[in-house]
Amino acid sequence: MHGQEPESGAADAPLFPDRIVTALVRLCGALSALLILVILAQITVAVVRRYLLDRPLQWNDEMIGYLLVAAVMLGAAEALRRGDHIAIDLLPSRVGPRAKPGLQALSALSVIAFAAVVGVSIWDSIAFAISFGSYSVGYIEIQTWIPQIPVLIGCVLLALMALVRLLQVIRG
Amino acid sequence: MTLFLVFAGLILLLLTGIPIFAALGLAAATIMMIAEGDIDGLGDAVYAHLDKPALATIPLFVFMAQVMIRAKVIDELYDFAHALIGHVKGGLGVATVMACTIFAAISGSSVATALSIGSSAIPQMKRFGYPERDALGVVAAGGTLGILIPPSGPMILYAIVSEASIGGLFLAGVVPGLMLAVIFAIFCMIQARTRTGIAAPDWAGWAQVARAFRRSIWALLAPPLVMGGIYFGVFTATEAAAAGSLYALIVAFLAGRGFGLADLWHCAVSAMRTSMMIFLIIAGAAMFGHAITLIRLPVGVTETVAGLGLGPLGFILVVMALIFVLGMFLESIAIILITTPILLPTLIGLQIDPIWYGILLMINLELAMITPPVGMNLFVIKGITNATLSTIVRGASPFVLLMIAGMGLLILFPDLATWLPRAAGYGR
Amino acid sequence: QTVMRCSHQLPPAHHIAKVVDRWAAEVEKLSEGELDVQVFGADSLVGARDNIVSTAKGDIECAFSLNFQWGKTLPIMNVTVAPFAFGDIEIWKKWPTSEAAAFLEEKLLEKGVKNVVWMFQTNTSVFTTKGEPLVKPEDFKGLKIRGLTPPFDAALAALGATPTAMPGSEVYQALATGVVDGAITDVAAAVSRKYYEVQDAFTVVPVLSAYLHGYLNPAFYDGLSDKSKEALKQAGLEASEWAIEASTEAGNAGPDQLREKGVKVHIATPEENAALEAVMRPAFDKAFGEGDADSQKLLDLLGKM
Ligand code: NA
Ligand code: NA
Repeated sequence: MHGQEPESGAADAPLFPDRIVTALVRLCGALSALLILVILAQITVAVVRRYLLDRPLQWNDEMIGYLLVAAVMLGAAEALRRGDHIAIDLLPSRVGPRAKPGLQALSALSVIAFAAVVGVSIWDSIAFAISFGSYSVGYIEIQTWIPQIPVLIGCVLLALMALVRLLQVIRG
Repeated sequence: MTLFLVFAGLILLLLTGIPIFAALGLAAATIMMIAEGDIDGLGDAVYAHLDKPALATIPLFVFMAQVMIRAKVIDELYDFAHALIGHVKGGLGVATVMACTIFAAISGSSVATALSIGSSAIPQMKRFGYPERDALGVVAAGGTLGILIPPSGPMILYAIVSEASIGGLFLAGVVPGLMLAVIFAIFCMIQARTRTGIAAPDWAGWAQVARAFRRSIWALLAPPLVMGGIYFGVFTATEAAAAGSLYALIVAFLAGRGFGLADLWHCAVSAMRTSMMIFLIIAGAAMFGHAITLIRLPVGVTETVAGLGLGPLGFILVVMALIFVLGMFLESIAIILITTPILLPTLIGLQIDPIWYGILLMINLELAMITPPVGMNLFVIKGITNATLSTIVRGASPFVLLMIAGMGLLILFPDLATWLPRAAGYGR
Repeated sequence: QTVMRCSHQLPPAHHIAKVVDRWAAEVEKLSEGELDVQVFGADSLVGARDNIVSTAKGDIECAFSLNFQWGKTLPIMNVTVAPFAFGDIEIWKKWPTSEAAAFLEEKLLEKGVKNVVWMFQTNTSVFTTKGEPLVKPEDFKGLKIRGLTPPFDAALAALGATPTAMPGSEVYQALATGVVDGAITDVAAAVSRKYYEVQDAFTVVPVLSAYLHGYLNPAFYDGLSDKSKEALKQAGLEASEWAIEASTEAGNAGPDQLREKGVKVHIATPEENAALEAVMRPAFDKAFGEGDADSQKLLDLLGKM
């Protein structure tokens, strides 16, 4: 299924925003894939340390959680670019060619709205957590807003990618 | 009334064809704006539901499956099933179910199972004269075994929400999963006999079977490694996913399959993309769940169902009917996250075994994947064949009835699910 | 009528979760219906990690946290984790109206939440394992024990054990299969989480104390009528007593419930406790950070009780 969809960011697209945003989104997607390999490596190290060295990696689970959030938020826009996110296409597959751009624009707008909702809300939380000075409980005691930053970045990437889609629909 | 408005609104949003995650998130924001006048807490809900170490099993199992597909391990698995049973009339259907069953024991996802088996099985079945509808249906349904036969991403999610033991749930899925596989296989034989024009290839001979077996040995060894590791206490579930991934990589690199670093990177990217699709729906479902919890919708539903004064059996039947309806519209992960916290107190109150309930839930979620309008496996098959959705739905519909029958058996004989985990010492 | 949404992390069947429900009903009754208290347990609305910040921020009006959820955010809340320091139930009976509690309430308000109720949860823990009960410090040598917090893990390490971190949802399975050799948990939790199915030796020790406390968003609290504030105060004092009753009952019933399941239960003697304390306490204090002025003042106030 992967790799057959039309991709955004072809060579004849305008440099800004299309190609710049696309490059950024692809880079973050690659980082996301890399993080999955990092998680794999880290778990391997944790198992080896527990069995062979009798020294468990105490912060293993907390770190996996943080890495996972970062991976998801960095990869979400790349999945959008590649058309991986699932939608119900009953209506889009039935409407005529004239209505199709309208639905595509609606889809892009909905992603922008989603990113705005999550982004504004998490920004609010991050700002409060900084002033409150809350720390995570456990083996990695860091300020709670730090691992939330990727959510903000991910929302910006998602919104930018959807914006490029929207512009492409408008341009036709 | 609120219940009706909320779900009708969500369905309308979904039908416009916007991504499912966006529909869930925007429905949540709308509810929050009406009830609270702000969207505070939605971002936290997203973060809180993604920062869960056990979720790492999802990308890791997808990665493992991708490596095995790319290293042709999966093709060999199908070849073996085909060599063994392909010559019987309807045998190709049985081989497809078998391949799905074995792949289900490797992969934690039904989508991955349908995807990988479907791409090699559907062309084969069509080549030997199976009606397209039948071929699509058996892959769509056989693929759903991916979440019932361990390992299973949805089971892990359910275990996290319900605090049931993951290992116990995994073991509980084994017997019902095999039972459904046998039911599917018998149905395929019967169905093939009513069709004209299905040709069976000639029996290849035991030498050929042995050759296919030798080639598929790497795929056949993966399930015992993953499940054995959990069963004998070497790994936790997350670690088993990592061990499975490493095993797949070792096979791919060392067994002379021309698998290189570029392939490894391709698999990581594939795992990333599939997981992100799932994780964003988790994020949307978290927001939707937060919003409906805040307006106390779940409490209302629970109180209504609890107020019906049903016994355990009546409660289970009503709940299963409710989830079946939800399953027509919602994705399985969303259903777990939305319904489990609501129903758990009543389940505990009625002394219903959360593991047994979890297995019933899994079969119901398998159904959700092949019932229109929203069925992940329907979409996956559409993605790899370009068949019309209605053909796929018609092909899958007999399996809907078979799975409901399977749930009936499980309700009549709870031991089908609970015996194995009990034997292994899991109490809950 | 003012809606007050309260989030907590305990499962619905937990003995303290029931005290929270009773407290909510009492607040509604005493405020003569001015307050509509809606309780969301089991992390259903806000997760355990987010309760404090969400309440301080005003996303929800009220939440309950176990004291160790404060972690480094307000370390002084964690003094009860010190091994064997708070085994005496008399401390908890005097607690709600004590100077020590008032001191902590002041610190909480400075941080940004208004404390309204203290609920003592446990002072009875069990060390669990397979084989023979863990009694003497030597018994712990070389065992992988599920850890709790970094300072308490330091105390376990001082016994010669290897503290191993893992999420709560994995512990049962890890104990069953031997990924870890033992665990430390509240005796009531050992029963409710069915650890007796996968462990056969339990040592009852007053090693850990924990409490759940309920707090409000300060701005929300300030906006309440005097009647509502009085209702919160009164219900808070009553609920503290209910919590002690419920926890004492659960703690006392635990060992017998475990014995009924056919496992070995050893109640540690004062001498055995002292031997464990002598090893664990110095390691804990070192890791927890001695010499903090606030912690010292709290310990002094506790000493007066
Ligand atoms: Na599976
Ligand atoms: Na469905």
